Amino acid sequence: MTLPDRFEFFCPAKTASGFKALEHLPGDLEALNARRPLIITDPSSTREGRVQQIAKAFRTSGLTLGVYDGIGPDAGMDTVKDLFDLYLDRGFDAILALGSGPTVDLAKVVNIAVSGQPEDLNRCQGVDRIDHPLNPLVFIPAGSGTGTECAGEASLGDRTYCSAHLIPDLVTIDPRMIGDPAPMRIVSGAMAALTHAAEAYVCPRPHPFAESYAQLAIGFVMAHLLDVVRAVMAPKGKMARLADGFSLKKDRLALVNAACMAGYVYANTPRGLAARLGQAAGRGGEVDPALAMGILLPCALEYHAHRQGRDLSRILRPMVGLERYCATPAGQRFAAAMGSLRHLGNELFVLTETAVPRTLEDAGLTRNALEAVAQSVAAQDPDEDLARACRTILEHAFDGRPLTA
Amino acid sequence: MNDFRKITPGGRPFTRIYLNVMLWFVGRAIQAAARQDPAVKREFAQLPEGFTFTLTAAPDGPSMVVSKDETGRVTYLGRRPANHPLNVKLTLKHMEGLFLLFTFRESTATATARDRLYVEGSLAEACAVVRILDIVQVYLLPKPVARLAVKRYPRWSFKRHAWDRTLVLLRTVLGV
Repeated sequence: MTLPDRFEFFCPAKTASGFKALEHLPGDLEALNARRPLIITDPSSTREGRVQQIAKAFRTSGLTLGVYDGIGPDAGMDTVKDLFDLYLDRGFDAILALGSGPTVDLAKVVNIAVSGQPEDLNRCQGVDRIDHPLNPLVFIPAGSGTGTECAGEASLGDRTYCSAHLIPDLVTIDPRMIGDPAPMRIVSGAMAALTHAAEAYVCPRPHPFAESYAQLAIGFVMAHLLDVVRAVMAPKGKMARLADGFSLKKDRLALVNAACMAGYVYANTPRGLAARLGQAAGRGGEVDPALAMGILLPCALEYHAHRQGRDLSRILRPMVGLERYCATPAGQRFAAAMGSLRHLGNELFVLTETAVPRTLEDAGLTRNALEAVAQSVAAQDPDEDLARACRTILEHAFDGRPLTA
Repeated sequence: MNDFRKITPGGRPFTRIYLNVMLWFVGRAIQAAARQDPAVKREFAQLPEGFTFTLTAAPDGPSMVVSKDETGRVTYLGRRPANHPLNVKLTLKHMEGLFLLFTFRESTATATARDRLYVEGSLAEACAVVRILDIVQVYLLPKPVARLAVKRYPRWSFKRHAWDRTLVLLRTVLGV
């Protein structure tokens, strides 16, 4: 790739990953000038022993922890208000967001309020409205998030915040924090990460830093996702599960790392078509947006390659590794990459006993709904050809048909 | 606020006792090896007079202090680094890191690679200390355990393995 004339990459998060990563947390918090952290999480974290593991890691640190584990699926502004009072009354100075998606979003929103005034929650809605650094925020992934937890975004109900100040200061990925795998959540998180990373990798505006992160994220998902799903879905006895446990943890750790890297990429590159269409398709609630992204990804890439004439053959490299990339003739590389993506989707369909859809039709979308999805994405962009592109991609993804030249 | 609770994580008394014993033993073994082993003698000979180093864990974990006086004699000075002017301070970021080191699940090199160890002082002198620690661990531990604790298990003569090891162990226990 050629070095672009100008680019920016902003990633203020320190990432600590792997064996005993949690034990580094007290020292890392001290470096952030934080002495009284508040853990914000959901009840499952206490039930499954994750909070206790954090408490163990803080032994000998001399710090006292606050734990709020009441984040439910319906948590909203009332919870934010309760946590705002709690944070200030008890003198906390940092938030440890333990979990994924909605829990982390809520923690980010609480952090906006406690780092300034409660009115900031109204004033700072929208893009780049937060004008001061926030208090330290640590993200501890507890499963396969989508990666957007590491980006500068948070949404709660109909409120959306978007600012670089929302990127966590510290991301601690510890295998002990990764809970019992629910296959659909794993696949969903991995597909979102893969989509963000792949679309950033072939972004029309070249971005060397984002490309490096994206390359690793794609490689991790392609190398580990099927192994994880295979291990989780296979009917096994207790002993066999125990024997598989170690490699499964490593594979899952790789997926969580991939999601975080995709999150850093997501924060620094424009959204691709598959991500935007997937989000729009999931807005109604019938379709999982991340799974829709996974279905749309090969069609969106084929659209760029065949209809816009862009050479995307290099995307094969992170998917299959350098050796197989070199062994594939240049003219076959893009087709081979799309083959790998579709193979992944089809294998997931079989392994999860049809729970992971291969097409938008499998996902439960109707053909009539496609036009509304295309229009909702096209309406946000002045490009006149976008509506046509969206329609074409959606129709091919609906039938599971490859998009040819 | 029924979902809120405060946790005051306790200490790790047994780990602390274990590490204190291990550091005491290793400190005295360094003192013994400096009198018995030619490689350790050579490493100390290159360090300045009055050189003092400590191995410890943050924030207030167990420690050991070893010093070389003006005559070149190496002495284990106990477990209170605050009482001595230090040339090199090797600090594990947390007590668990020191525990991993002294339960031989991680070598010093691995601990450094995993970002658990930081050094205050001259890096060249810290590297000499790490080499000394490696040699001492080979003296103290049986081969299968020592292989986990050091970066590369050395090929030593039979005399060094048998006779020198016996003397180092004896000197360590007797403190001479």
